[in-house]
Amino acid sequence: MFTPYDTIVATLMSAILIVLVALFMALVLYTSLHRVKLNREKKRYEKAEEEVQPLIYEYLEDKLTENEFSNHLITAQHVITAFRTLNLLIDNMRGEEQARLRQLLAIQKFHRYFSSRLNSNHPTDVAQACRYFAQKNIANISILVELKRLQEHPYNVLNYSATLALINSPDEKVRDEAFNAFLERKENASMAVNDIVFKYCGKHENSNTAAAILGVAIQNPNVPVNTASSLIKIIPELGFFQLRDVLLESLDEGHANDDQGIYRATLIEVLNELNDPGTKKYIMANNLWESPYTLVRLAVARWALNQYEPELDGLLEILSQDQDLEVRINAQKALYKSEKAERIARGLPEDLQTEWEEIKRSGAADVGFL
Amino acid sequence: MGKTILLVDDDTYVARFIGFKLNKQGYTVKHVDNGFDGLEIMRKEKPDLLILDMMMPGLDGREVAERISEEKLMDMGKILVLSGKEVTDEVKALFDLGIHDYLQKPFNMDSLLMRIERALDATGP
Repeated sequence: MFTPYDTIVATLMSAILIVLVALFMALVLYTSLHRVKLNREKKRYEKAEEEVQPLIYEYLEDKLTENEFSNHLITAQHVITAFRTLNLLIDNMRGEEQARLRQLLAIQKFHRYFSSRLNSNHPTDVAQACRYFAQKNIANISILVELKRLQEHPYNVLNYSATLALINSPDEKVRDEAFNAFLERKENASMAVNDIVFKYCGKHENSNTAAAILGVAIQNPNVPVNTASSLIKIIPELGFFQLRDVLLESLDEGHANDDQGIYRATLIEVLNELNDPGTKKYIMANNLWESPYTLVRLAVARWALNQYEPELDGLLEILSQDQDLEVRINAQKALYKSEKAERIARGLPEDLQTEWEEIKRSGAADVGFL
Repeated sequence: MGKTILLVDDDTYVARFIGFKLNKQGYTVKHVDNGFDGLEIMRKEKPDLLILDMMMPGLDGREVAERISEEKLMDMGKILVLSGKEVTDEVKALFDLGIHDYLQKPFNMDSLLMRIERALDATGP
């Protein structure tokens, strides 16, 4: 026999089940409609690509004028697809073709469309608009104001895209301000930093000017440690060897916010890569082998392995007993180059003897004994 | 019938433009956007020339060239490499494998066409 209570429970359960099924159906319906919408959108872009790309090629062959090309930019998809294609071709072409492609970007329809997209609610639209302005010499004040506003946006992609546009400005002051504002921002991705730095430095005809600005940025306490480290890492690639003294000075002074040792560790690694003879003085003066940060001790051990000389035996003996395995391995490899190696090895605790045999083998291989 | 050129480049927009220009010059162009498909075609067909991009996801240009050399899929002198990099050790290694030439991106279309003609002339029919 069912009690009234059972009936209420059964009714409630049925109602919940019906609601769940209805929700599920709504979700399926929404997903299907969304998929249809996306497919339709994709097809529109594919069609626009088919229509616009041959026109760009014809324009490059002098079979179409800029005005005639402009007349074919009817829908938003045409404008976006044309810009994407032009942007990629400009990046990959040079000479007359590149110059002619750039001329197409001056078409008013592009300017009007992307100016309006700078205020879009969709970050991808805004980022694309920024990329359009990155290909142009921005002289329009309202566009500059908008790009500077976007440089303060919390989204990395928008900040990066706006910076990219601003550092392409023909106005040096605008470029420098945008570059410094970007560097002082927290949580920049290292790839974004690399890209911006390369493009910014490329705008300077005199590499000494770009190097000097970078040198100041490396020592600027308002530039976050991770960004400063990214800047330090790309110095050899940029060939800014005139910054050696700045690197040494920075190693001596450190960074006010370097709470994990990343800044000094990166400096040691880069100076090691540059085989700078002045590094030893600052490592010794600041007792960096005793740093509380593993990254710094590891960088010192690697540096000592690379730049070994008997004078380093003392610090290497300390590092060979380090709590971190990688530090120990590098220090002990370096010590293999020392006459004291076997003595130090015998002094190792029992559980490290096997490890030592391995180290000895790889150390011997490193110095060409095996 | 024009000579066949296989173009392996993940940058579809650039590849389409190269294809358009080469078609105009009378070449038959096949384009694939990754190294795996490129090797698959090479195993079945023998293009007269291979234009190979260095930087691609999956198999990069160097790996594709190495496999072509290992499997002897074509005369290495029929390979023209497009690269975003300057002459690095990686590019030097490709020259050691015997590639015909390389062209750095961004490039001039006329330079590419000239190199293609030279590569085809050098390697014969």
